[in-house]
Amino acid sequence: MKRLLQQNTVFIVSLVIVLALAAVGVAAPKELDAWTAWLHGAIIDRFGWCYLVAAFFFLLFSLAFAFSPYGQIKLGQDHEKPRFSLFGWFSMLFAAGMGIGLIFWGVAEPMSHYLNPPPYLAGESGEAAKFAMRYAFFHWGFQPWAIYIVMSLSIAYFSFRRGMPPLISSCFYPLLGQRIYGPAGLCIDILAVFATVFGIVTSLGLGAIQINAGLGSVFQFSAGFGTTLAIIAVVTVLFMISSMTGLDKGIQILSKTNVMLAVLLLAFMLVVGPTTMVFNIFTSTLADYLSSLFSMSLSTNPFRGYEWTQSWTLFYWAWWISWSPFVGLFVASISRGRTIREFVLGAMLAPTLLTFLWFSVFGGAAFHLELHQGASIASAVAEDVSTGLFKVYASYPLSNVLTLVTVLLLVVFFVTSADSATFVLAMMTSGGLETMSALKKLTWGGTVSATAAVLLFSGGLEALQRMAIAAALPFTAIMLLMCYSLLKGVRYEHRHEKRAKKPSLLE
Amino acid sequence: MLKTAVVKVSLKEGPGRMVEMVAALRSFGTQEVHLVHVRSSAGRAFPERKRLQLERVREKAEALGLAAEVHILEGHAPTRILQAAWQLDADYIAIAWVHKAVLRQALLGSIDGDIVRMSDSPVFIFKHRFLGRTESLDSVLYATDFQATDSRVMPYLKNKEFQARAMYMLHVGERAPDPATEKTRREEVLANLTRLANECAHAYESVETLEAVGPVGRTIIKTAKVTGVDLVIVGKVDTPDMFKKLIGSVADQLPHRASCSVFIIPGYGPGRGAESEAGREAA
Repeated sequence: MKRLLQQNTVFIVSLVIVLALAAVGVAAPKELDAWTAWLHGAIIDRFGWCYLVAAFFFLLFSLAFAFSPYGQIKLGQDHEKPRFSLFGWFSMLFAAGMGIGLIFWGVAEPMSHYLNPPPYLAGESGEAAKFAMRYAFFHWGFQPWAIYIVMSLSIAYFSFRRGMPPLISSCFYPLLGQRIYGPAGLCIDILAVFATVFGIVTSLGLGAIQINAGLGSVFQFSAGFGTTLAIIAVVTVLFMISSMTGLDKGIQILSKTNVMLAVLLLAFMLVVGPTTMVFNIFTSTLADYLSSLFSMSLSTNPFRGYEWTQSWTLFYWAWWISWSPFVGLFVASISRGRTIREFVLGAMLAPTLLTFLWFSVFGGAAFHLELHQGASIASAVAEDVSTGLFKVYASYPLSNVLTLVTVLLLVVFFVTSADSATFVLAMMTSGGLETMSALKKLTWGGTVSATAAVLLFSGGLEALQRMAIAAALPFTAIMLLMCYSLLKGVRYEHRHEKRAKKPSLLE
Repeated sequence: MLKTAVVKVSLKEGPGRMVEMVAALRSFGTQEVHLVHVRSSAGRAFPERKRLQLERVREKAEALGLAAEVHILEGHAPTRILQAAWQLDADYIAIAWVHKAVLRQALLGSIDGDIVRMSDSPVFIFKHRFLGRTESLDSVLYATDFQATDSRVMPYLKNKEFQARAMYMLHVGERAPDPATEKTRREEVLANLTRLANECAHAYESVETLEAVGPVGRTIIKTAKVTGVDLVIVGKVDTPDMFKKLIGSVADQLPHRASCSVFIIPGYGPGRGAESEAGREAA
């Protein structure tokens, strides 16, 4: 019994605390809201700059790693080959890392920045439009992937190369030694479970609201809590089924299907929409993004526009960092057998390129309607962020089909996100075992869905999102230490083991 | 092996501390000391008061049974001291370390630090202890990395003229990335330490091996404090590593931070400590 308790410490402690917090969210949503708003405000206000510096550091660190001699090291044993094809790998990367959020913000983010840019720019101006696209690229570009890469690279290296369990605490062996099995390691793993649960619950809640809005616009019903609850129930059943089939089948097949659907939707919008304008936006924004990457990466706009930076850039960075344990563990588990260079460049360039195209096509379509056809997309987004995309579809042929395809995309991204989160949560709370018990998957799946539903009802969802973002602060420190630990580990291998493998001239 | 020493005398050390250091040199089997004072203000007459001070130190060194000679030189102090060591065929350079405040050191630099950094000969840095013995050695600690420096340092440690009762052999390494590799690494470290300990076991009453993981400089200092040794011995390698050049090697940092005396033996270069001795013996 004692041994069983020891093995399941992370599972028991994190489950109890998550349920307790969810109970507080139900019983006293206003108090929780006020408390988390204060915590979130205090963190972003005081430590926001840390997120900017850390995210930029992660980008430089990942690139330096890829182009260093360490880039040749394989995330697995030397003879191992990648378990998934390139397409399967990219699809799962994209589905886990961005997917649902990109559909949510594809139209909404450029329109929001266009309507409400920082105070040094006039809203609804040409400069605001340029700024809107550049910052949409920035918020979904290299930095988020660099954050994920740092986490997943560390986990993959220490797990598949060094034979340790795929846990975040394992990445600290060069620094902590055997203490990773003690309270320090447990705290790291429990914090990772929190961030994952809070992140996925928020994401599912917001995803369900958008699916509801989409279905409401097609079938002409007013989206209410009952339908949102039904959507969560259906999606829960779907991701539980997918989760039971494992990585090779469920998640991979769904992710591939989804990326194909997304590419089809993208191609349709590109051909039917303002193609030339989209390409103009893509090329000029790409140039704009690359040339101002350095200044955007480190600028908090302390004189004018600091509030804007806080509510957008700093929020995003904290959000990506809080998501990183989940995406990092998942991405690590699908990247076994790739070299560090292949992994970093693949994970940084392929999803980013698709994301840039997505923003150019959907943001470009929205700008075309807003600027040339007098459609008020921006004001619709200002009213309700979740309906922006469907407002764009309303001006396109086959709008109902497009809406249904998008809803399907949302559902499948929803399922893959929840499925991979369940997989990761079960793995993190099973001491890193890849063959974790079905009961744990079911427990986490049920907890995540029930918490999302209950908090949607009580209004505590935003509070939980703030909790996830609050968890990003300790995680930033953890990730910085992780970079150092990874560097130590890889340097050790390069110095000692590679040297030992070189044939001696004396032999 | 350490028969002749060039002793840097700045006259800021205080006569008591200088004599204490000269007495400590006897623990290495030193028989001859060259007291070198370098003055930067060329042209002006050398103050008689300083000359008398130097003479007093020489007399006290001779009273301790050492052959002593005073040299007054002019120019850039570290360069002149190193040149003197070369010209006088000294086996090592001895410095009575004078602590400088961080700001002062940052602005004015440190002559002693520059000697340590520039020297290709062994350098002994004497640190006065307010409590406990300083004139004779009881225990010493050799921090080894099992690299090139071992071949240079071990001849000194094996030499019976090097008079100390106990020897601690310390290796500070970096932890391997996983438990299995770490176990193998530690086994290798222990085997190497035991080999080195056996090599010099005849020269000491007791030889103890120690193994630690962590930042090298800090761990050496901590271990020296815990074991209460009188002297830390380290090898020094000129590294092409840019980062280490910026922050200084462990050997460069130790004199500033250690509370006991430090002996730095260069791993390679035109240093003539062990090699010149071997050459003399062969002749």
